Amino acid sequence: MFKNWDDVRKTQDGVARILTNSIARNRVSHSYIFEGPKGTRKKGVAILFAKTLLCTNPQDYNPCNACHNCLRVENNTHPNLFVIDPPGKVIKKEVISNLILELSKASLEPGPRIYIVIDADRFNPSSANTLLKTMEEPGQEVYQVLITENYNSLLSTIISRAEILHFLPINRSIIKDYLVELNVNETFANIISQYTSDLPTAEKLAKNKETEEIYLLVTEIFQNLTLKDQSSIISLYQADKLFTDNENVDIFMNLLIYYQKDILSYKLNNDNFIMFIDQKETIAKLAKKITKNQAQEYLEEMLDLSMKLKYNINLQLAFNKLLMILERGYKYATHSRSDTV
Amino acid sequence: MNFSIQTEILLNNLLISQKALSTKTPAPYLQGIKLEVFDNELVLLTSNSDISIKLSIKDESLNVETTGEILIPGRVFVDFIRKLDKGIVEFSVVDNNVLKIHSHNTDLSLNLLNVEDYPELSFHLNDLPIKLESKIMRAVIRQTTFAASSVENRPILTGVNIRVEDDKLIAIATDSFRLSQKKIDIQKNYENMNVVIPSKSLDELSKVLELDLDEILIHLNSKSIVFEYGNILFQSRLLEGNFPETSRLIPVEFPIILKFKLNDLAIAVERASLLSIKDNYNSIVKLSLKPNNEVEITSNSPEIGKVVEEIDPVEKIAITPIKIAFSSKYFLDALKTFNSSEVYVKFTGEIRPFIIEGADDPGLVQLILPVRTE
Repeated sequence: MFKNWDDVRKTQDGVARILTNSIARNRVSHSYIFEGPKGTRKKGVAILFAKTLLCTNPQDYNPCNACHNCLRVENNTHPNLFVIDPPGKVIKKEVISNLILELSKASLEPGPRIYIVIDADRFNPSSANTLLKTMEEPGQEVYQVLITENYNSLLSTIISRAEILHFLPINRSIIKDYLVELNVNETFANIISQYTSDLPTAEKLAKNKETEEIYLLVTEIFQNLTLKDQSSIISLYQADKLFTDNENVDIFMNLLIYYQKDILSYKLNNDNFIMFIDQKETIAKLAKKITKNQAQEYLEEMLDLSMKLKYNINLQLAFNKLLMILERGYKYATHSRSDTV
Repeated sequence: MNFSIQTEILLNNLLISQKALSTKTPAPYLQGIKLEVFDNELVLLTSNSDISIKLSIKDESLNVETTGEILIPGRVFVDFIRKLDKGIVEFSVVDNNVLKIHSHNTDLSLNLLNVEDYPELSFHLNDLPIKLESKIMRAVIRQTTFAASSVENRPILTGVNIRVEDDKLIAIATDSFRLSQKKIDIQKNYENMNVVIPSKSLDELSKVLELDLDEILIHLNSKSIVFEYGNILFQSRLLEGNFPETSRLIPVEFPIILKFKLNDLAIAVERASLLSIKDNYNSIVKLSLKPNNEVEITSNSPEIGKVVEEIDPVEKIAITPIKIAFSSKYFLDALKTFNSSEVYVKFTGEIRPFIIEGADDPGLVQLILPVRTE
């Protein structure tokens, strides 16, 4: 939890400066989109923003952290602060309708009202449109913060009505070095630092057995691609229980993407971008089998699948299909093609 | 905090304050009752964010040793006090977060909620509140809230518009298909006001107004409304936004005026409505004034059958015959608001809204939009 804006400034200087300036000049926008990768503490900044607006005794642009309002913001018990984070992959329309109903009444306590939507890319079209209606005519002293990792998946009409603040990814090497100090395998540390830029999350993942299993599974899948008589589909079936957890599925998908990116990097002679450092040999073998265009094509295939993961799709089938495409490409390449760079 | 009080006194007050107790709110702190203990006063605070009730208890049996404030889990507390034997009940807080309740042979330790989480409820009182007879207030509520919209598409219509204009207080509710308006005289010239109160809050208020007290004071400001009724302060949030301008909706000239005995009319419409049992809102009845001056109420449902009710108006002023169709539910709801034994139904045209007024209900107008039928 951020206590003041100087803390934010250490990692997100730009964001802190924009927000504190508008607070100090009393020109706060009614809607913000906080966009940035995992672990950049967008929610923490949003809460601090709410606290600053609600604080009864602010010092310049910093909240006092002592008044009744500040304390209740910290406990998430302030009646004027709404944190919308329903469980599930979709934010349903009724959640937004309830919010609108609440905002249609005068506030219980005087002062501004702030609502924060966590993972706003979870809106479905009908809830996004419902929200849009309130964005068009925000009540007096109603502020909204939409938090997302990918603002392009929001409706363009929502984006155009909000001010977008980009959160910078935190320097990955800090996380990597930290994990290596904890005796985590260097490649593994490298990959986790790509996946999240939040230290506590990174540490949790590094210590999680399941994450390691996923990591091993991904390396196995790609190693199998170099062998004619091994299919990874079997390994995928054996790892079935890992995929009951959404977080794991997300990690798995991302690791596949990283590996494919490595292959592409190798083809482009960008060796120092390679994340799976100890897999260089396999990467080199695989890279020789396909063309640059193919490498790119497979990467797009993966990115496409990762977008679809938030819907209720049959994971087993979807991953099988992806593997088939990869196997067809890598194993049954008619001849090792020489690239025309 | 340490005090004791007569069980029945506490219970009677708790039963009132629990009306504002949240049951299904996401905020756990609103499920609590806040107790504020002063030297010779006990204050109970409850809120479900829409309505809040503040009760002040100053009773001879109240004996305060140390003052303080706590937040008690509401439901358990009320249920427990309800089951206690008569007599004195003692309360004391130990370790800052446990409330000990002692009465006769009973001992209860109740874990408290964090009182710091409780919202600051303003209960803003004016110097010059509007004074009304409580039975008039209850009548106004009964005569208007039913007409407010229950669909939340346009939140502003779920409320009752209260206007203070010179020496009149006007309450209006509409769901855009019907409208109910009640004007009452108020004694003095208060500051003009125009607010919208959620109709649910008013329904709750009318349940609270059951004590044997004559007077109710209304404290209005732009953010909230507080009703003062004896030792009870009842606060409601207001709906934000502008209530539609309704004064032009009510016609002023009526070429056709029919006067009926209220009971006869109600029974006739009720019988006619029985045929369309699909659902209440869709049961359409037709009223026709024939050239020979008979009034007929009919309903036709091809699958079930047809009803024809003949009804004699007590009086009529009519230039032309008319045939008008409307929802029987809206019509019956409107009739229920009158205390008169005779009502006027006034028409301007077949597809124009018509109004109902009572012979002995000054200031009350019910307006209904007709339905087009071929």
